[in-house]
Amino acid sequence: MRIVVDLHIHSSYSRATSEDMSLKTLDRVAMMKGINVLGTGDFTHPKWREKLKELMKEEDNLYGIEGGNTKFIISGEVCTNFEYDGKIRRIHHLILLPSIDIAEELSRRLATYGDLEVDGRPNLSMSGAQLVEEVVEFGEDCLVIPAHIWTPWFSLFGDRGGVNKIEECYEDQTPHIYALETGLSSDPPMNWRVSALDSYTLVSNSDSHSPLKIGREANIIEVNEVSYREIVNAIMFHKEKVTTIEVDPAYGKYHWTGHRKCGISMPPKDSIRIKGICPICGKRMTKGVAERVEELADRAEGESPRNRQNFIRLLPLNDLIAASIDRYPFSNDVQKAYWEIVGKIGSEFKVLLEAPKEELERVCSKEIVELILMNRENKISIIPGYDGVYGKIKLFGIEFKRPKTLEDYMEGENDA
Amino acid sequence: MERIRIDKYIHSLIKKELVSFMFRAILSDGKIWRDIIESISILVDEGVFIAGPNGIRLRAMDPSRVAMVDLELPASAFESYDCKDEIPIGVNFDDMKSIMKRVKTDEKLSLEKSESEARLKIKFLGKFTRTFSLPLLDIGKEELSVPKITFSTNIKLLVSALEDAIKDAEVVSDFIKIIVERDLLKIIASGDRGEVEIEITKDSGELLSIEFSEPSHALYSLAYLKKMMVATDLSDVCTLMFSTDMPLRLDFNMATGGKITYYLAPRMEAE
Repeated sequence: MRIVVDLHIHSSYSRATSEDMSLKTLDRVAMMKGINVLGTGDFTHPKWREKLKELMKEEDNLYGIEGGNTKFIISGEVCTNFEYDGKIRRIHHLILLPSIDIAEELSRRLATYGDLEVDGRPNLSMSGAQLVEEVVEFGEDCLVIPAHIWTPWFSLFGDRGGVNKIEECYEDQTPHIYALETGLSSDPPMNWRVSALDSYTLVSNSDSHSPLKIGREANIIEVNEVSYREIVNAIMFHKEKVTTIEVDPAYGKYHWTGHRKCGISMPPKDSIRIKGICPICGKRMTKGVAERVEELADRAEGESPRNRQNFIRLLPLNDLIAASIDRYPFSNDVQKAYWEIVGKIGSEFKVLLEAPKEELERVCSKEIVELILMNRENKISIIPGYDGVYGKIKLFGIEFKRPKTLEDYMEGENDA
Repeated sequence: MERIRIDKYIHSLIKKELVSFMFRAILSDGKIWRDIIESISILVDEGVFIAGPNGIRLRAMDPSRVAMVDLELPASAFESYDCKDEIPIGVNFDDMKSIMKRVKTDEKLSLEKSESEARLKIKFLGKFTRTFSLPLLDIGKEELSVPKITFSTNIKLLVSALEDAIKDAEVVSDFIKIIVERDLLKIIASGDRGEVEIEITKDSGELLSIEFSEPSHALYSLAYLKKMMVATDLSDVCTLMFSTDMPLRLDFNMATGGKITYYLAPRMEAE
């Protein structure tokens, strides 16, 4: 059977998260999204862990609330801070565990490296290798997955604080790393360009800080039964059983290089040409994921490894509705339409992937139906995100304006 | 040890003028070269001077390709000047700036490049002689042309007036709008922090001349204009040229001869 799994979210005990991240809400929202298994997030936080203990344990090492529909997998994210090659590296890692008891014991150990009560995603003074060593001591099926590996800050290959090779972070513990999380701003084709990543399973998760964003990226996993062992086994040894659901990487908020303050962004070839300097204020721009991939790539664009995974490219329904009525995805109008559509059809993934056109037409406006169908065929263009600004759906031929440089006025170009 | 012996040998040859110089120039005031280097290094890290029989020139674009500096220093600007053929002199401006910070008042400056060395000798000639040797960079010669624009306005004004206007504008914004209409130069800035409007007329004595073929206006980055104000040490008067939504050109004519010209791409209102 195929199940939809989102392994990486945060509770309200993490910074900058919605207060409405109770287990009851998560259970209901996950069901409406079409997610079968959802990460609990933040297992390291003592207060959240107390709430997790209220969950009924099930035999398959997954958890659930009484009367709920969603199964929960114990997960959390930590940030390791360590020095490598004279520079401080700050790297986020997703951790998956088979039981709340292990989460309790591991948290006790991790507490010696940092304060776990301050943030649901704690800062730990330890290397990536030390973290893996602590985790796998509880069993090889306790997984460490480098999180959103390309984002500029706090990631394995991030331009600000990351490294160039997996081994530079995990050292002799690298063999215990089985999977990499692509993050919103990169997709499998971008990751295929680095041959050193070929042997790893790519996973995609929402890293959601609010209920509405759950499942914006997720994984479809082929399993015989819904259990921790089956999910982790597929991630560790059967990448062919894992299909990722990806937003267009341009939708991610660090896809292109840019400078938010000046409202400027550009693709790698342009930012490389101007050496990453903002053409408006002259300061260093934030290097986007597309440019960082270009730096580490040893394959040309479009090339891929032989054992590549399947993936589906899909934009969230909220964003499609918002674009159709020119409102923000969190606005009341968008939310009202979202719940109405999802309530009638069953789940968001059913709306986005399966519902026939006729069924959509019965519950959606003409514009939304058109966008859902375009979404299935990857025909929606995105104005790429940059420096913390999410990408935007491009409608009706709006063109991206790049800033003028002096080269636009050189001989032959302009004869004003 | 071998390297030191070779350097000493070359040094002795130079002393005896047995090494042929490709280029040698003496400026009567070393601080002028210091100011020139600061005016260039504010925009570019590396660049290539072209020394030729008629003088030295350099044209370089900043990394973001928004601003350009164009230096012309004729042979007549030097106390003595000797260069028979065109030679490229590629330098790291940060390194050269550090050396030039050491120049003292009343010191002359000698720049020398011999055929045998990939180095530029920078000599401060004062009460005694201090010689720095700067490794040259082999960074090729970027053939840059200047933006081809017919400017609709040409304004000559005191640099102090432009510098003050830029400082005022910085209080409220990151960019300025320059407007020329009638015999008036208007500089406007506005942002979240407020607004400022500066009017400079001929009556003030700070606007020396104003010519325009049509009313013009354009928006420019204050960050870059502020950088260009480093050149104000070289001249009391500057010439500002622009057209509506086109690049700006800013000339600083040096009293001792020579000119530094900056170009700056406009910002479009919709950006």
